[in-house]
Amino acid sequence: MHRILFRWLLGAIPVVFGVSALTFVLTSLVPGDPGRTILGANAGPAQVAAIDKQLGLDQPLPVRYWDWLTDALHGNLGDSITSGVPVSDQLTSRLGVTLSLIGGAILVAAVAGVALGVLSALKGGWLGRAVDGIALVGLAVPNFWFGLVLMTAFAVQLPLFPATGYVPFAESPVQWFESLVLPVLTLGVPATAPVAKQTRDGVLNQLDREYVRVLRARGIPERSVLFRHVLRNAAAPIVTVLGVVVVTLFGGTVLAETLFVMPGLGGLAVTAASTQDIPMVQGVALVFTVTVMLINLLIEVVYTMVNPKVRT
Amino acid sequence: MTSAAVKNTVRRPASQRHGFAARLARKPAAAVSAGYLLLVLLVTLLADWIAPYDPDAQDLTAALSGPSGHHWLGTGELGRDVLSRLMHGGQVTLLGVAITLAVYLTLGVPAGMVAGYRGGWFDRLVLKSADLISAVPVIIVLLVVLSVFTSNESAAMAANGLLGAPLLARVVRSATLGVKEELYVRAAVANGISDRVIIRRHVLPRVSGVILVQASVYGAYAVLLETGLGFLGLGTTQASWGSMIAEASKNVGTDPWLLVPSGFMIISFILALGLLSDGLRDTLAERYAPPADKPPSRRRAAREALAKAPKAVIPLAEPDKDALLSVRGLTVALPIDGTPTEVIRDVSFDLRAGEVLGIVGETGCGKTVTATSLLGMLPAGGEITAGTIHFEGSDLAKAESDALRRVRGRRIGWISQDPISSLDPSFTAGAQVAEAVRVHTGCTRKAARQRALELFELVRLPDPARVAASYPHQLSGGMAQRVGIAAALSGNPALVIADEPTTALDVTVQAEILDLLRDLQKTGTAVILITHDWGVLADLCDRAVVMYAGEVVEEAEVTALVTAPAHPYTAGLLSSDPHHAVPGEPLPAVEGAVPPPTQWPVGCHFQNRCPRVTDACREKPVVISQLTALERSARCIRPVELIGETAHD
Amino acid sequence: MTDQPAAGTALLNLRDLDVTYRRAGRRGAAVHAVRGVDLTVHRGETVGLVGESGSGKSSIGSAALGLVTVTGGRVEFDGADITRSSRADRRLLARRMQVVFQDPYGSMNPAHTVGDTLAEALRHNLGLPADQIQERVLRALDDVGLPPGAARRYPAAFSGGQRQRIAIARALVMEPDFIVCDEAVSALDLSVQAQVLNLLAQLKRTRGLSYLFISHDLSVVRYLSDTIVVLYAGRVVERGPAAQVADHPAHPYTRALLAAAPVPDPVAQRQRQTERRHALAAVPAAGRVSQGCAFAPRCPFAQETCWTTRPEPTDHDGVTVACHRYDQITAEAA
Repeated sequence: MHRILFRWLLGAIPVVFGVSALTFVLTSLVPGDPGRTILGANAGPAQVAAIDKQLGLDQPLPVRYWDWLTDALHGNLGDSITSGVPVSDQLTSRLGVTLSLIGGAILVAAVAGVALGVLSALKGGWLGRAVDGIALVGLAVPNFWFGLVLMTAFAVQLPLFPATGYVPFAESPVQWFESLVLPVLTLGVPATAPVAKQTRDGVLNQLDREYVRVLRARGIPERSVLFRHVLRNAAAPIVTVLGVVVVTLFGGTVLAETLFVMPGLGGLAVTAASTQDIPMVQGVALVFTVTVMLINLLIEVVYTMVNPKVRT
Repeated sequence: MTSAAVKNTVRRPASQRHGFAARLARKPAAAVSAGYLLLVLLVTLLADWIAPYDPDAQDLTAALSGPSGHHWLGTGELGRDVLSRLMHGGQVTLLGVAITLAVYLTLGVPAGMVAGYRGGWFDRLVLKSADLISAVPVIIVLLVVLSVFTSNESAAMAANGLLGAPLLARVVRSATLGVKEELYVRAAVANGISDRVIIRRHVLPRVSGVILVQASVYGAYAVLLETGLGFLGLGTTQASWGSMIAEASKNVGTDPWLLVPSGFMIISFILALGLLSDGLRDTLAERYAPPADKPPSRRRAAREALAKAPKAVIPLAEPDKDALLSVRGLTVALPIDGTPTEVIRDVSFDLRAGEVLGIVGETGCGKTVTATSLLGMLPAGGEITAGTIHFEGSDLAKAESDALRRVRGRRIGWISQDPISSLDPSFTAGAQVAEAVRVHTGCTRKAARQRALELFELVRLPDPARVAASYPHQLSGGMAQRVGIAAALSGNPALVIADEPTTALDVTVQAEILDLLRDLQKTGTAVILITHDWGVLADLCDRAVVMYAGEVVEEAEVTALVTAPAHPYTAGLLSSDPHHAVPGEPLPAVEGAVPPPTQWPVGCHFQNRCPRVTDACREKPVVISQLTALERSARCIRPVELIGETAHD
Repeated sequence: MTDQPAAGTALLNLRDLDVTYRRAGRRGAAVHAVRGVDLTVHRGETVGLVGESGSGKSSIGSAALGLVTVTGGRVEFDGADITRSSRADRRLLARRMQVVFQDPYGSMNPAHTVGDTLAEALRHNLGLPADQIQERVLRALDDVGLPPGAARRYPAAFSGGQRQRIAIARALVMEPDFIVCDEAVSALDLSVQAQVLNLLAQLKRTRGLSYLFISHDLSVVRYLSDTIVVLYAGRVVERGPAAQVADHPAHPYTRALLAAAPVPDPVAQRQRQTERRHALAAVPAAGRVSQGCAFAPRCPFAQETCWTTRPEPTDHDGVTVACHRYDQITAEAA
């Protein structure tokens, strides 16, 4: 277990460094002056220079990056240029929304995907072809468009669920659930496709193996062969695919939150980008990256539990 | 030979020189997709000339109207024509995808090929960057880029290509590595052929399929990304498919139709891309598994000949009531090229309790099919078309699957050929044997674990506890095979079928396993041993059945079989064994090759290779006949023993 | 093949050869596949290299062909040092040294016709014009007993035995003097194996070839070779005339190998079963690692010296054996 943690750390640190540094370098290219943005167009040059100095903007780039990084490690990510509110406050309040969304989507994708994949591998015939077809279409449907369709059908035409907005769990668990249904389906349903396909391929691949034949020859009941042995061995690549799906979901959440107007990190990212709110952009990039890395760690742990060759 | 004819022998024949495009065109899904994509491309490129309206021309009086004669796909909230906006919008998306793919391929392919072919530090660098990049959500980076270069979609799409390149490089690297390890590449290297030629001749063709698939997947992803950015309003301000969906989202209550044209466009485009890439991949893969290059007419002729042949009435002798296992007239058909074809015919033999019977033959003789049919475990589509398998009072050939399942493991055990891949890689050796014990005896987990350890001692594993806790990949071949034997014995079967149990093992290890099997036989378990090795046969078996091209050609007690073979095939095979050979003199080899099931001749299957063949041998199928008073039989009209001559007269 | 090795100049000469594989990375474990091997193939000779899995025999073949890096010692061909040969050197060498691999299915690119595969080296190594390529390809196909039409077909159309013939044709097309046969008949059925062995023997006569014949099958090696070299754990344990080594082995490992290989004679086998039980130590001494002879843990004759000091190959009238207990063993057998 320590080895996994260590290896993960070895991988996570460069990624976090890399992304944050890259973000920093890129955002430093933004034309215009943050100090002027804060004070407004009418402020005199001396005042702007003073603010710049106060913000530490007269230092060379590497120094600024290091300062930012050390501050970030203490939880201080600066203040938003547009709103003046500390970046970290915004981030923490919105993290919960995004995590609920992604958590729900991954659950949907995993459960539905594995079930569909196993069924189609075992039954074959039309179901197998249907799953292959769904996988193909699933990769072709833009999730924001799909979300709009869901919204049109189940929120506008049939007012079953709210079209927009988010209700925190603390306020009302039922309404929290209802506000999440459409966005979670928007992200989760298209994500089911690659999971189902990988499950199907993985199970079929295992069924071809020699040990399955030998187990049957030994008289092990078919039920055990499938659920104890085949699924166990097919699990590793499925876990890998889930890891990839999670990363794409983080991208998808940007679109889903914008569509359903949810106060999550994704929506924040879009706003920050379009208003060129640099500290916010940097903060959002950092949080996204760290969260993805943590989920990757979780996936690594599960993968190792499932694959003995890696363990020994 | 004329020079033209001479040239032609080394080039591909005309029938095989079908271009790649022609073969692709024969796949309907791929061909239609290619056509569709080309159409979209054309319409988009020519949008300036053929679109009915200016995409930005507003007509507020006709806002949000559905499809009509004036506006085939309706209008948006500002009265702009949807069809025209769709046509022009394509330009934005396709340009973005083109930029992404250009960067993606230009960086990814060479990097991957160099990494895979050269290895070393560059390889490690590529792998490391791919690992790092796969953890980064692309859209976040793009948002950062767009925050800096506002509305500069090209910058964002180029960044997208850049981010995907290491992942492409990783895939290309694996494929390249795979090809590099192929024996034919090693042969080329040993021949001093330059890397450039090797990459051109061997690596690129093989890897091109992978590249095409990856490119189309990433292209599809780029379409989704580009339209997503358009939807978010971060891309260009021109008409684009993404912004059209954004517009639709604002009018979901009043004009839901707006969702359809743009959605359909994106979905159909990506779908076509996916189907085309599947077709491309399959067409390219065909070269590596080309269809059997026999002209179809020959196969049909052979089938027709077989159908016309007089079907010999195979007299079904009575099963031996005293034998443990009595097989009579077993015939099995498997689907070959879609047609059910007999692969073994009229197989009969007996096995007494405690006896070791060998089934010996070369590749394609049907010995493994015979063994698997005893347990009802034929491959998909296979079936027993004739014959009986009498075992402990019932006919296994006609048994229901439930009855068969009760027999497997509990009454008949199975030992497979490849010891390590016969074991489930995710479970320890002890767990697998304990599972089998539990299934057959219904005892507790603890008792089963104990019994597993006892069985490990029985098969003479040193340190049974350590082996029980080990995974298959931690065991040597010999140890894994002992585990396999322990598992086969877990149900206390009366009979064990061993399918080439020592073929994958070193000869010294093989000897130990054979000794083990012999000791097990002494405890009363009967063994059917499938083998191609006559030495193994002689070491372990009491009686043997020789199979050739799907038929039993001889059955005898082993010493008699080896010292005085009756069937010319057996005789020929034994004399070509290098054990008896005199160095310096040619081995008396049997010329020719075994006919596959689709090409079995009428009459004796050995007729085209037999030095003693006569016309009578070719007329009709040969029935197996008992030889004198000895307990042996041979499927031959002119068996060696009867005439008292050697196999080669 | 007479009892004496064919007289002639040394064609392939391996001196104190060492091949060590190192797994990538800092913690890469080292595998010593070949250690201190001396081996010579003279012109017109067939040397049979025998060993089980892990003996290093394939690595020796690969080292001679330049497919693996030699980590110690020398490889010489016809007097020239080829230990660290470049691709350009290999180009020239390939005109004299060729290879036939074990796997008839993997040794040819399935997307190329047989003719294309046979012509590859002629085109890209020798750079011959088309008509000469034709001639050589057709002649090689004829030599291995395949019809000229085979050149137009794909490997998938042929059986395993036929593909192995094509592999031999590919080696012949360059008109070499020396061929490395790396388990060339191991994947073939008995009847096909006999055909291919006959072919190899015949080609040796008609084209004056020398072979390094690598195999795990002692009886095949005995039939085809003039000299046999026995390999265990990367080292030579016995070397001598084929008949002598195969029928009267001196080293305990060779004896165990011979005793373990079953012969198609049930009566003889029953006797051999007791013999082979004596040929290997009753209980392999697990856990103790030998600093001396690698075979000590399994050797029924092992004594303390065997565990501590490595035996050097020593000449004993015509046969070279690496065993401390040679004298005692031969005395007992006498």
